[in-house]
Amino acid sequence: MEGIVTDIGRVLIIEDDRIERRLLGAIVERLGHSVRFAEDGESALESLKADPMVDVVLLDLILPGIDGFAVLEGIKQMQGIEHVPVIVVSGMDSMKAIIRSIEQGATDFLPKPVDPVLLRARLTSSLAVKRYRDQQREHLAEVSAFSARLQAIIEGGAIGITIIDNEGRLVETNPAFRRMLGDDSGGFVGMQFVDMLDTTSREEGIALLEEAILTKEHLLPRELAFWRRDAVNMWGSVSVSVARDPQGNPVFTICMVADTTERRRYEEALRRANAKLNILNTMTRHDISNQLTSVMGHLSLTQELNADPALNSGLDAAEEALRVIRRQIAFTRDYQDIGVHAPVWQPLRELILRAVEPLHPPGLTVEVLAVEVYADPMLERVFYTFVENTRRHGGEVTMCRFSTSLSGRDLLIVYTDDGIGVPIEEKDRIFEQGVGKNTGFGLFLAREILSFTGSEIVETGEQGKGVRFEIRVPEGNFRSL
Amino acid sequence: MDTDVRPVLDRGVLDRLVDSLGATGPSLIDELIIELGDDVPVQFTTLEQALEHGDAVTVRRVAHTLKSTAALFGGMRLSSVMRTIEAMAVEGRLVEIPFLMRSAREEYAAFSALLGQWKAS
Repeated sequence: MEGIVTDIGRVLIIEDDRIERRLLGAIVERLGHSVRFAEDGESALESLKADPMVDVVLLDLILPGIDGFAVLEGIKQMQGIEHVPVIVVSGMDSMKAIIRSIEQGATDFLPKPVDPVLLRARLTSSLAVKRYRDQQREHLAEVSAFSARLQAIIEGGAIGITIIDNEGRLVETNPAFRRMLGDDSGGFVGMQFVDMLDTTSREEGIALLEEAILTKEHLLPRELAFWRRDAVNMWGSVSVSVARDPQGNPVFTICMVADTTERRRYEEALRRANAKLNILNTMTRHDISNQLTSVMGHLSLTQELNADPALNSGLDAAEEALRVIRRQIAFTRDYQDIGVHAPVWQPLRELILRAVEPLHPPGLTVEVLAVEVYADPMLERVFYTFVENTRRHGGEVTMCRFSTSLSGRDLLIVYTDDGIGVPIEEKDRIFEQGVGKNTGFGLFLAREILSFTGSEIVETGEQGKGVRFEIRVPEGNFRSL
Repeated sequence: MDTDVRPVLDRGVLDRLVDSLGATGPSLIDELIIELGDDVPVQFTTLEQALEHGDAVTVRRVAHTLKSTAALFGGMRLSSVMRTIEAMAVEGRLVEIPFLMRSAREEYAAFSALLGQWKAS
């Protein structure tokens, strides 16, 4: 016979007659399949129970003990086997027998004597059915497992999830969502989403849903105030995504809410604690400054009245120590303000000009991109420090320049002058606290200010040719104007 | 008068069978013909004993098997007789079957002789 099949199957032949069993087995093996046998119905079912790895069953109807119909019924009731195609091969070829076989779930009916060509065709077709059913079962198992995982996340997660229809009504809510809003009894379905929001957040909530539907893009989460059943507002970070049909029309909106109420409480408590500390710092600094002024006044008077040259060096040392204390107090004033206020978007060019113009930098050029930078409100102080250092330590400077460029996805802000530059041995230390020719705090503060929003600063100039400060602003912290 | 026009041995059936088994076909069929020669007389005896005991189920099952086996090897007339016996067993007409058994044995003898010839050729 032509054409050995390529899809190798495992075939169980249930046939009581030894000669027919051998012949049928030989034909099936010749087609390339592996074969196992059962001589009667009971042993066939036991064999399948013990080893269910079968792709097709060839079943005779007239068998000793239970007949082929009972075997067929047993197969269809056996979990894991019920989808295996069964070809009834029988000499009982009445229409009644054929119909009953098919009705009981047989895939096909082959009359005896078996025609080998017909058997090959039926086996090939049944194997294709089995492969398709196996794939379906695998897909179904995958979908079921995925669905179970998804269900566990939705039901057990801490994120509140609700599905909103195109009219803005809640269609489904998960337990976390209901708990957040103080009702775990399955309520809220059918309510308008905006009615769940505090009046202060409704406008923003409506805008968020509309924007999600219109833009088709991922939107950043928004913090909205929700109304709770117990009348205590809850704050939530709200992300929305829209499920669409193949034409892009919105079908429903998925809204995920992370409870940020506690975080906001901590932030508020922290802000208050910081405010108190700042008041305490300011008062203490003010008191010390007053006393310092008084001591310096007395010292100055003492220096004027002093007639003993032996005391001069001691008085000078005392005066220098007082000046150092004054500078350190000034530093505490500046440092306490860093990070106190939230970062803000600041237009770069205007900021640089406003910061450095009072210092009248020589040969100033500002060639920067039209961008805003997201940074601590004290960013201005960084640019001021660059030019102040140029003025104090740069020597004969004729040029100061601010410029920008893109480096990958980051923004580089570069400041250069043509002064004496920074000695190689000091490059790594200039950003440390207390290092420097004046207060030693300027560049330390600059690095601290920048670090709050993830920006970095390095000095890459050449000694004798000028300084070159390079600020790297990460992606997301700058944007076009 | 013998009115059955079907052949005692349909050689075409045997040839197709050999064909479907490839290189091992001839030797396997030879082997199975020998088994058939051993098996059929035993089956006849079983059938006749079942008739004596009025065991219609066994009569039907053995007749059904012999019908299929005979047809498988091209013994169309023997198969036809066994079909009739099977039908009678289903209808419970066991008393009529002994008359057909004589015919069955005659058909088998003729079929067996032709099988031997086919095998020798």
